[in-house]
Amino acid sequence: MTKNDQDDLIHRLEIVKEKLTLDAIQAFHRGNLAGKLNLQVRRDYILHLLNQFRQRSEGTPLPRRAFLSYSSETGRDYADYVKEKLKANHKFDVTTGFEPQRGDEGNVLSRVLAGLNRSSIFIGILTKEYDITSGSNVTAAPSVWTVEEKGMALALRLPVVLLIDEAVAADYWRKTTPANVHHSFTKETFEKRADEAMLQLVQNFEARIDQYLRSSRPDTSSDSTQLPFRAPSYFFEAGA
Amino acid sequence: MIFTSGQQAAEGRLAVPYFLRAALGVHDEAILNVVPLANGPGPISEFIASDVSSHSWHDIWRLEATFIDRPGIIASLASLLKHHSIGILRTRCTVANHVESLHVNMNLDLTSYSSDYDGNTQSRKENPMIPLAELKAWISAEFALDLDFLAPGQPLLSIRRNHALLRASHSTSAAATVPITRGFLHIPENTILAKGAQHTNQQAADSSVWYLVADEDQMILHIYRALPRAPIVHARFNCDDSVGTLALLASEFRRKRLNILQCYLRPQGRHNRSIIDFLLQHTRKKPSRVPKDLKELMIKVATKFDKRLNCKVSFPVPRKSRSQRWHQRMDALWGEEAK
Repeated sequence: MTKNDQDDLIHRLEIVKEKLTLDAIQAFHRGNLAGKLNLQVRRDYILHLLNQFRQRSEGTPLPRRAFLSYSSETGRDYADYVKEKLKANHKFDVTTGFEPQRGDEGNVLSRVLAGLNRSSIFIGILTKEYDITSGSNVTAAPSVWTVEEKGMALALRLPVVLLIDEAVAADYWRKTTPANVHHSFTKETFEKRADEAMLQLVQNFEARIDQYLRSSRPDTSSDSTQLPFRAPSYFFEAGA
Repeated sequence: MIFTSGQQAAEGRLAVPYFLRAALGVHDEAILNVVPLANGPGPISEFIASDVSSHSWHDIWRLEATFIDRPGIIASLASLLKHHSIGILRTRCTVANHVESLHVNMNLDLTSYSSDYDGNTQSRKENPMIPLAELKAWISAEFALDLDFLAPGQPLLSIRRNHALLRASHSTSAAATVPITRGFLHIPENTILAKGAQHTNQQAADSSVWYLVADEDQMILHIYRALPRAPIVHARFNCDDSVGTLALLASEFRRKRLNILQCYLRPQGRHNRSIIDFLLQHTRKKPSRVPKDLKELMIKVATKFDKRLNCKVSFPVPRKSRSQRWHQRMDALWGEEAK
């Protein structure tokens, strides 16, 4: 069986899951509660298989892969250092928003999202890219994409660390990320701060693996956002 | 699982009773692949026989599923398996629950099946613990509305490996193809059944007591003989049918260091009695500590439980081979005429 066959399987499971969801909701609207429960049990099982195979197509549920976010204009040298250290010292693969990803649909946003979905940790390097003038105030701003990517990583609940150039204004990071993930640096202190940040992140990753191994229940709740339409909230309540 | 009591081979042949052949679906003139299971350099004491080609033994699986019955289930399932290049060796299916459920039981040959997750036949041979998760997912997707689900949310669908054949496939000895002729199976001639040159293979086979066990689930016939180094006894206990009878007898055997090789318990019905056949072997390593007469030991056990279980013991004799019985009859007949 080839890669296409795997995608076929995932596609087939998606179709079956959507059909079961539709049928279950129709059964509920007709007042057939037993039928709805029966279909819901089947849907949950198919969803469990779907999650399992989606994770498998990524290699493992928690791949040793880091997403590195940086500005190609001002952060490339810093990124190269982090990339090299992550590979050599911590045995992580590194992916970025600049690389094409499987299933990225050809646009940048979905490429970044696909890359983040395939990663287990996130490192953002915020370097000064613009000067923004507001009245008499001039503030240094990072690349728009680094801020976007950081937001996506936080939404996906990836372990995050940010390496922030001291020149970048606090408005772009202080209030939007937890305080313990900020690591400010200057050109002279970058390597030391980057090593500390990577160590913190890898420890966080190992803790996640421990947590994953301890939890034996398959996670079927995370998929509720992927329904083809808005289902009534009580549909997903346990025992409904 | 069905088994026979011990029998002696005659001229290197074993009688395979009809009920064993019927259970395995193996009939006269069928060719069996027989593999000796070597346990070190000593003489062979166990064989595995199956009509499945020995080249596929490492990749034979058993699919069991329960569907909500409708026309076309078998057609869809067979087409799905064909699509994945999976051969069906045997199928048994039947309806149940007022024709609402359909139980399907299939033996599958997966040597031509390959997938990224389930691997190919070679990788499955090297990693016996690979589950067929992808094939199971395909079947689950195809029959999402048809599979019977248990309450906790798991469908009644399982795909398990045939471990007995997998183990036999690791045997270093080559498989011999042996036909069943008139209900008899020849023990392969190229196997070593005796140490040294003082006995031929046939003599060694004929002097042993052989036991046949048909595992119809696994599609195999186990053929083994009692190891000569430790004494064996076949005892039949006839006891009152009460709760704990087997526990009492088995605990007593454990105390006396007797290992149960076979046990067959069935009720006698009319008189609230049970008949329990045991094939027991002593496990003490020092020969001086092994009781000389195991039958005497069995009588002691029966006497001990006589008051409590009204226990009687008898010792069925291993069944003589058909030709031995024929010769015995002829001897008796001609002997009488001569007199």
